[in-house]
Amino acid sequence: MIEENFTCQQLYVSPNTLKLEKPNTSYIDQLSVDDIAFKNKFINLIKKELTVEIDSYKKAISNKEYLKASQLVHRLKHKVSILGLKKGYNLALDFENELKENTNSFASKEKFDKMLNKMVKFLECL
Amino acid sequence: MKCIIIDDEATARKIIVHLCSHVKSIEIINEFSNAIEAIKFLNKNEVDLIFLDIHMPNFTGIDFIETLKKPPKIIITTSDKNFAFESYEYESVLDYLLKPITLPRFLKAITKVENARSQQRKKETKVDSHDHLYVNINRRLIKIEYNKIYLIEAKGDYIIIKTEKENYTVHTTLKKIIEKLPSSNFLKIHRSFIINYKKIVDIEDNSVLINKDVVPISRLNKPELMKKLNLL
Repeated sequence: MIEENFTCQQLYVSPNTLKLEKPNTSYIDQLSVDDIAFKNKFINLIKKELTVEIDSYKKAISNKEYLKASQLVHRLKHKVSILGLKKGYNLALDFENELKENTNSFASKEKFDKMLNKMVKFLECL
Repeated sequence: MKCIIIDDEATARKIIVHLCSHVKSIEIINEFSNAIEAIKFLNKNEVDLIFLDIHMPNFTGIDFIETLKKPPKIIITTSDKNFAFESYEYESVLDYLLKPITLPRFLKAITKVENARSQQRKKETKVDSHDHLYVNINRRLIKIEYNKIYLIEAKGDYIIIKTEKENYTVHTTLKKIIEKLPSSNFLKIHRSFIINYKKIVDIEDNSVLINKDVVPISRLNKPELMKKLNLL
């Protein structure tokens, strides 16, 4: 996975001022309404599950278990949408299909990995 | 309305639980991260609604629906638009929700389920309001009271309705007659038999003694029968 360093300020973006696609909490805010306790629990759950899923995804890729990796990308796709990444969803979908077809080229992998890093960093900042 | 959630992703389950908290009539009685565990639960418990993730490894939501003999209402949850079309082939599937699910779309799906349940109740009340049915035998319409029937057996193009006093052979199918009978008394326990389960004498392994007839129970129908019994 490509390592990139982002600062919290670089990552944080209000949904109203969204220019370049960056993660946001628009959906989470909408879901939580004013329930702060739920919001915090929910964010913690995403953080926890995302870490496990990314580890499993990396392991599947290094073991060349591409079908398993495609299933994990499918699960990650939901979290991509939760964090408001609309283009990221399409990227994940393309990558999921590349893995399923096992083309070995995996053109979307680099961008997808970069996006995962962004998501992790964004959640750390919350 | 008793509901269960089946999804391999904890985040997805958490979202549904939270959305359900906005609807008073919904009671989440269990959550499952895989469909096999849910099948075991459904063999012993009745539910009104299932939130089902269609895309799960090893055993998909579609595989799950196909194993259910008498599925309750189902709302499909999916991250893939393509799977939704496939799921609509199943009568029990009332709606599909694209993840991440929003509250307005969720409430719309619940309204669909409530409307379907209300229609079903009306249909059942219509059947239950009668205590008899008429059958056409040799151009005569003969009245048979439900509580006199203990067994109905399929024989080719005919069915035999058995009562304690006599048997009636009628040119129809089990599928047609079960729609006319109250589900509070009658249950199909085998592809060739419907029983009035209030008249069961005993059950041994895979057969039922009802009056003096021994009737086989199919493996698929047995869980449904066990659920209907008042087991100690």
